[in-house]
Amino acid sequence: MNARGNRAALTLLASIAFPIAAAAQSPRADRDPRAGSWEIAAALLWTGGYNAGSAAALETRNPSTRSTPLTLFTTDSRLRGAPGVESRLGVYLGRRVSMEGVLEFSRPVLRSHLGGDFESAAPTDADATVTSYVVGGSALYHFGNGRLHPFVEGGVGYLRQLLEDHDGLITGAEFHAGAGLKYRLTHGAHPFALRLDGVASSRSRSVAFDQKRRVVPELAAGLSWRVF
Amino acid sequence: MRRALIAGVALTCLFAATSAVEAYLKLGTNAGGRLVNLRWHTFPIRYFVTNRDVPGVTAPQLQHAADRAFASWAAVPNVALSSQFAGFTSALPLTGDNANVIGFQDRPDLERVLGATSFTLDTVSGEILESDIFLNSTFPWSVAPAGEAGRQDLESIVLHEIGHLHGLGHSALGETELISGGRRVIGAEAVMFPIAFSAGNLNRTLRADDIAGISDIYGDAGFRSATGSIAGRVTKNGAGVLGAHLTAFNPASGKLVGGFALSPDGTFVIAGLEPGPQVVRAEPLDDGDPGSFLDASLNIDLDFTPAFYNRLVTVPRAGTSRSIEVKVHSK
Amino acid sequence: MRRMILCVLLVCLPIAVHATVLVPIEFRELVTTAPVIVHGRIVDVQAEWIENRRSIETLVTIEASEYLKGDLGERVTIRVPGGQLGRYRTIFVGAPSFQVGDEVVLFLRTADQLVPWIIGLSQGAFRIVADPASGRRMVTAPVLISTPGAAPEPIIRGDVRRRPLDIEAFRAAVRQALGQRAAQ
Repeated sequence: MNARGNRAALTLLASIAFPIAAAAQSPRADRDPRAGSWEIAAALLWTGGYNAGSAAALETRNPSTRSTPLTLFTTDSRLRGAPGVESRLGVYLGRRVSMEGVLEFSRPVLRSHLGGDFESAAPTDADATVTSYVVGGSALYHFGNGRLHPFVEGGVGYLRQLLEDHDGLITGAEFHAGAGLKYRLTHGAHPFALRLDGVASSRSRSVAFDQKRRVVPELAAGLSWRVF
Repeated sequence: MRRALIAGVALTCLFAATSAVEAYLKLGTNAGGRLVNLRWHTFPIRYFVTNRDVPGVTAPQLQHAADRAFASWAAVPNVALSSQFAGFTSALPLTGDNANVIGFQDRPDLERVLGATSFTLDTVSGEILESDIFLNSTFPWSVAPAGEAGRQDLESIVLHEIGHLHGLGHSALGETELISGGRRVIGAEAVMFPIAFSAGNLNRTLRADDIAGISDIYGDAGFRSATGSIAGRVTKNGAGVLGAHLTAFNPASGKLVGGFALSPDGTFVIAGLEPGPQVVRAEPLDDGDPGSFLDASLNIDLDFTPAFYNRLVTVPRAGTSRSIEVKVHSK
Repeated sequence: MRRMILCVLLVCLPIAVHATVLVPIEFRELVTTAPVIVHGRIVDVQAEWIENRRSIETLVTIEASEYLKGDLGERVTIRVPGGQLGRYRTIFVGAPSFQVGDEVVLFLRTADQLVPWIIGLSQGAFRIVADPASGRRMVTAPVLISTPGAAPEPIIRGDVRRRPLDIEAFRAAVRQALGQRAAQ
């Protein structure tokens, strides 16, 4: 074998050997997050809907006819589930624990079904688009080693919902708790990961015709990237 | 001759403008070449009571009922209304005597009229100079706190008429039914509905629609900064619908407030509304005499079916919603 | 601009501002209790002082084209509360107002030595106007007729079964009510 052939053979050997050696050493080369590591994430979000209250348009009855109020028509309202987006910026406090800031945005529809009309006006769905923001923070605790890292999370936020035409502002506090997982897609010190979240979001006030605390599910799927 | 009394108007008319202030069905007049609301500018409104009893009700009892009725209107938040009983008089209502007189009277030509209000106006300023309330003595009346079978509740009728005295027109928030030989109210959500509850029943509580109406005339800056209005048009095949009745319903509070399309292009404004999303509904005034609400000589469109507006309308605080178009269809 | 247009519209037309509490009268009762039912055209409207110049009422003269009930002659003059005389005006809120040329059907009551009046203030006054599309002469106010002995029937706004009557159908409704009354 001449010198050119020797170099080719060595190059081929190296191209095979080094990855094998690297793979054999991957648990150490894929560096776990440590205190001070930063991670950003972006996801598509689905926020579940909820019953926004029922009401009847009532007229005072002439007692000589009946004793119950006259119902002119009824409304049944629902804030419909809607897609959205969320972004997160987190910092690890250690290998397992991280803190994140969260920003969510969606545009659900408040829909009132109008029916039961005394004068038989056709049942109608009357909609209004809501612009919804949540700004908050979460604490995460990660489990597992290797590629797959399940986690649990909990946190608080500030909900801001603006009715159509930018009139009618609803604000309130939001608490959330849930779980998720991260699946590392790449290796190295700055890996990308697939991230899935599922939380229950408890809101003190939200767009509705009856004000009460509501719990809505939120599902998110996206990517995270450990910056450093 | 009433030298001190300058009376007469070229015309009395219902009118509406497109501003949020001029939204309710009010009494108006052409004075000095311009349209003005019929409203009192000087308070307290001094009134006399005809010193005449009728079976079941004495003149002092009528005065007390009037006093309570005036107080009901004056208790509306953010309006500065007041009245003063000036004494009993031998004068009858509906006579020009420079005095606001409330009293019972026997008028055969006013059969089937439980009560009515009249005005004498200053053509120059449009100011109300005199307003009388006639109560038909041929009907049986009652002042019993819980009502009295077979007798009309006096305070309920006086409350309605004093609404007119303050410048309010009728509300169309109510439903009626045909009964053997007549027609009666099934339900009403305004004291200013033109037909009274059956004899023996009370209607002494102002509703949201009444409050919105009186506030629209006399409301102060606090009222205007706390409420908003919905504006738009009612159309049929693209053309305006004159005389359509609109209802705004707030599902959060359950309050109903009405309005009317008072222009040939179908324009309407419903004012005095709580901020937030509301349901809007349009209907024709074809269940009786539309002249109870609007001038009978206007070409009021009665040929359509009730319909909801297909979006929730968000009422802003101290403002007017975006203009909406409520589309209705012929019968 | 819209406000101006509405102003002009109303200035051109007689205005009746309805602000009373009425006891509703059903059509059949109106027909059967009215001594006189006249169909005609307004030919004169004159305000006059009454009660020693303390109040104004209006005398309205109708040239009768037909009587559906009773007979008060070729011309009948009725009294309506309120009116304008010179600079003075008494406004009786709820009284109908008329202009010369109006075509009307009026349900009238009379009493000894009193000028006839409209039953139920405005309830006994029906205006006839030409439909712009068809040219048919239509009664403007809805005619509500109950069925004797029937259960209470809600009056539904926008009811597709309820349509304006032309003058011929209105006459027929009057005659039917009179016929039923005679049969009873």
